[in-house]
Amino acid sequence: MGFASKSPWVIHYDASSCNGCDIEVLAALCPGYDVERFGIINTGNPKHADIFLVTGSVNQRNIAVVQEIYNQMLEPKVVVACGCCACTGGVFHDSYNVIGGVDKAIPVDVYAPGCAIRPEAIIDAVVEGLGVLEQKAEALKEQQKKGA
Amino acid sequence: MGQHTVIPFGPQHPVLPEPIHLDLVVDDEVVIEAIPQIGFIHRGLERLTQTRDYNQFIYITERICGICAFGHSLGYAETIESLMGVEVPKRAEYLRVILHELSRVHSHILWMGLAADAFGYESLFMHCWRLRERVLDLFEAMTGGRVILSAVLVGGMVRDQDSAILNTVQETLEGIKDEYNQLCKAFLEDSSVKNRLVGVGTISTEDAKAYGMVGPFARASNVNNDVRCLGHGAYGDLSDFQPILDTSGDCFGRVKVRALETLQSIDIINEMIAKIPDGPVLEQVKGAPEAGAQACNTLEQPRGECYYYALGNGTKYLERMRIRTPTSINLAGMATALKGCDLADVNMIVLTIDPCISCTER
Amino acid sequence: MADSKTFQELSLDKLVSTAEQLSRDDWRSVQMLCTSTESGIDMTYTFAKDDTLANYQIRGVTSEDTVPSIQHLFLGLFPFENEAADLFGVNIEGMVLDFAGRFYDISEKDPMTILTPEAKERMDKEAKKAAAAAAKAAKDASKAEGEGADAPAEKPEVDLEAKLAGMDPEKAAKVRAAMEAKKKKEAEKGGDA
Repeated sequence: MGFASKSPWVIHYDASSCNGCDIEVLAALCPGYDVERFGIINTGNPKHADIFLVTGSVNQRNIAVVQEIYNQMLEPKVVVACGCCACTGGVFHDSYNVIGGVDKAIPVDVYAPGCAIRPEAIIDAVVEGLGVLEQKAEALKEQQKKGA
Repeated sequence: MGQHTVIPFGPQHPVLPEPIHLDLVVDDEVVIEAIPQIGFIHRGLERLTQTRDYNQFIYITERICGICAFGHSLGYAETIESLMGVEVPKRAEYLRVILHELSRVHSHILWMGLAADAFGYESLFMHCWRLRERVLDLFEAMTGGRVILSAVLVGGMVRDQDSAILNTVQETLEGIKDEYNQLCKAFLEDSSVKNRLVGVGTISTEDAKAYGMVGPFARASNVNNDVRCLGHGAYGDLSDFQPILDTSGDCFGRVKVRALETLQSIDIINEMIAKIPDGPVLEQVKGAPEAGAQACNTLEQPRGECYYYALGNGTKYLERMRIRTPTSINLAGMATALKGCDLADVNMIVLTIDPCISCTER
Repeated sequence: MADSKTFQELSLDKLVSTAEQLSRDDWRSVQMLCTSTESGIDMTYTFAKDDTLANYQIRGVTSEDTVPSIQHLFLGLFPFENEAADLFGVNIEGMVLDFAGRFYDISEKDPMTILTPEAKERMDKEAKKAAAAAAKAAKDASKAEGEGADAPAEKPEVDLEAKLAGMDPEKAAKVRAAMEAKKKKEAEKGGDA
């Protein structure tokens, strides 16, 4: 990845996380780690977002919510699974109400481990996600050219 | 009289990082009824006692909630200790209180930031979170973790803290206190903040008692349910402990109670560090809880009284572990506070009870 | 201030009258929990006043029983009564806020009453271990009585059995099969000679 073509906006959804990863996602955006200085802004609207940060595993009730937010986002879009629970189910993998990692619901592009995930890992994952986002944008352009 | 409309609130809502769904029945702009719906974070971790023994389960209890993580591991360890009749070394009790009060400082500052964000004061939100980072740095120096600390074991603490680190804690808190007092001025004296909060979402003392509300939510309505008054563990050695109460019962009262509690926690930490005795920090625990033995315990979490119950079955695996978290008993009060409020105030009221949804659903 | 925690039994038909009395005496509701046992569901209601935490326990509530709701007295209990209905399958009647089994919306029915296969395996293993320990203790006792007079050839086998019981079942089966084969071979050898 060379120079980033844009500052991605992120949307965060807490699937069934314990809050630990959620507050670290917010902490990464706030002073201290301060990724807002790169123009990365946490938005509440899926239609404004480029990167979807999901924390926690999916369960019976929230699987539809996760899919709905993903479907509302516009292409190109990237999904980052933040934390062990979002990657695989983590310590709760054998609970009765945990289906598994976020990849059981939507395609995941970047897996960021940690329990709770550290803000540094979130920043790394978002930077990784930026590369994927650019590839997807290129692919989309190609497709549109062919279609036109 | 307008037509009733149902407006869905959540589960994905910018004001709360956590998912809770409310069905708001509104008449024009006034909320007539609010029906909470949860289940988005239910993991079912109480059944995990079947496959995790009582020492392993401490790591599960920590992951009930990442904000009150230390409190949950502490409450769980205390319950198992009373179940098995374990005497915890005095130094460990002091260290537990120091870390628990530090997590109260972090939790309250975090909450005040979110509240500032909810009433649209974004720079105050950023300042609160900047201050909170310094508490997290202390956690990292003391235990190695930022939010999940894994510092408690059944019988004591994982490791001791030397006097150098305890001095650093005191110095850092002294520095935080100055900046915090300036932030408090903005919260408690700014007229625009008052305009937004005073008289919003009022709960009367009678209602607070009838719904069994706990924590700062109840204390703002002049109901004292502070478990720290009972003097568990090292809290009994405090020279003086007066719970912070307010009589207004509105959103401003709840901000005020939490703002003052943070300062109180800093004082408690300073007193504990001054008084901390020398000695071991871990009592080796062997054996298993007896079959049929049961114990219950309460602990004052940042969000209020938390109830723990454990039932042994003669093996290392507990028959039943139950954690009743503060938010779950406050839900009824929240639904009541929302009745009759303006639609624009809903996020403010939901936030001022300091809901911790992952605690509630476990 | 010292605090006291009490546990007391309560019969199902006295639940509402007790709750009414507690409500009149200004107690506050703390929580309600269920425990799944062989004879049904044990329900524990907790109330607090000043420094006292009182737990009232109702034993062995079955799926035929109907538990009256006490939400009209203590509204704060609504999450727990709905939880009992969802996770333990307790029939609770007359709830003010009734989510009709959709409080948590889970795929499994009454999950807290189910013993998972992993837990069952572990319990079987533990039971076997305990049995083996008991067998060994009995053997040791009889050995002490007979002053080693009984056949010494029998001893290693018993010890092995005790060890096998504590082992993981697959491994134990393999060891047993190997021993069988060895015995057979020895027997064959004996036949030849």
